[in-house]
Amino acid sequence: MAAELELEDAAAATLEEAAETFDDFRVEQEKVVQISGRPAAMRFQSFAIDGVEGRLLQLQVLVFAPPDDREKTHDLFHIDGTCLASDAATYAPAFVAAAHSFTFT
Amino acid sequence: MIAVTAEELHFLAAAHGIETVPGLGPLPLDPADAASLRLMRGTAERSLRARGLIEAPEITSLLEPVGDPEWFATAVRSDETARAWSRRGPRATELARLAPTDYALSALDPASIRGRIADFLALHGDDAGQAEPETPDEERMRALLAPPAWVGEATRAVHGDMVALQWIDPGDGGSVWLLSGGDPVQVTRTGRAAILARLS
Repeated sequence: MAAELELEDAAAATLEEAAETFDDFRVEQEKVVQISGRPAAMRFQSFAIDGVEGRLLQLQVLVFAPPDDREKTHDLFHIDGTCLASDAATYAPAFVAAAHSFTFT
Repeated sequence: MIAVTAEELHFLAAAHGIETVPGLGPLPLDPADAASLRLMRGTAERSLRARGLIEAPEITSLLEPVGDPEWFATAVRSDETARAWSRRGPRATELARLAPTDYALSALDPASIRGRIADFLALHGDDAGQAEPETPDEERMRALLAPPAWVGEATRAVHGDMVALQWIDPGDGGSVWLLSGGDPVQVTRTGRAAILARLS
């Protein structure tokens, strides 16, 4: 990504993209967290997909890699976890835990 | 009950012209960092809008006692969970901190606040007594703090009067040890009802 792109820009852009891509798209909740000490944007979103009975729930986490010696670009990590909305109680905590286990070394 | 994140509650408070929300902790990221502040504002606004909570009447109603409370109390347990109760006229709101940046807002009957404080801080009981202060040495202090003991902290404020208490709860249902600041630290065996009376 271009270095001037901020996490807020990425969060807004991915939201727009998801809303255009998926049927009956809905944001359930967004929050700001820290992943490996880095600011991260976390969003629970739900939507419908043809052929799947019931809505899907998706956790999306966006986090930039720590600064390195590059000046014009930086790496954006985009972590997704998707399950049936009816299975959210089982899988949503696991998705959150998996995102928080992500570390930069 | 309405679940909100720290950034959502900061956003809502600002939108309602509220400078301080009793019991609300800091934002999850450094607000002095422009990019972080922009992310927190954007995230809160998108999330609240998606959930229909911006300008929602229930939010306005919940924040009314919080914005200009006639009385409020806050309480923190050593497991970092916390509660705050704000009262204004016939309305009261409980703010529960469920995780470092996750909260829940609930309306409650002002008459139930005393019971809510007692429940959260395990202050049920009839003992309103208080012994003479003691000055514990290091070994005695370690013994007082040994598990299952935990430390409670609470404040209660009305205009012109504020009480701040800290105590060790031994976890056995008996008296607690009220801590007095200063050097040396003193502890006073105190009945649970005495602590509750000073907070409610």
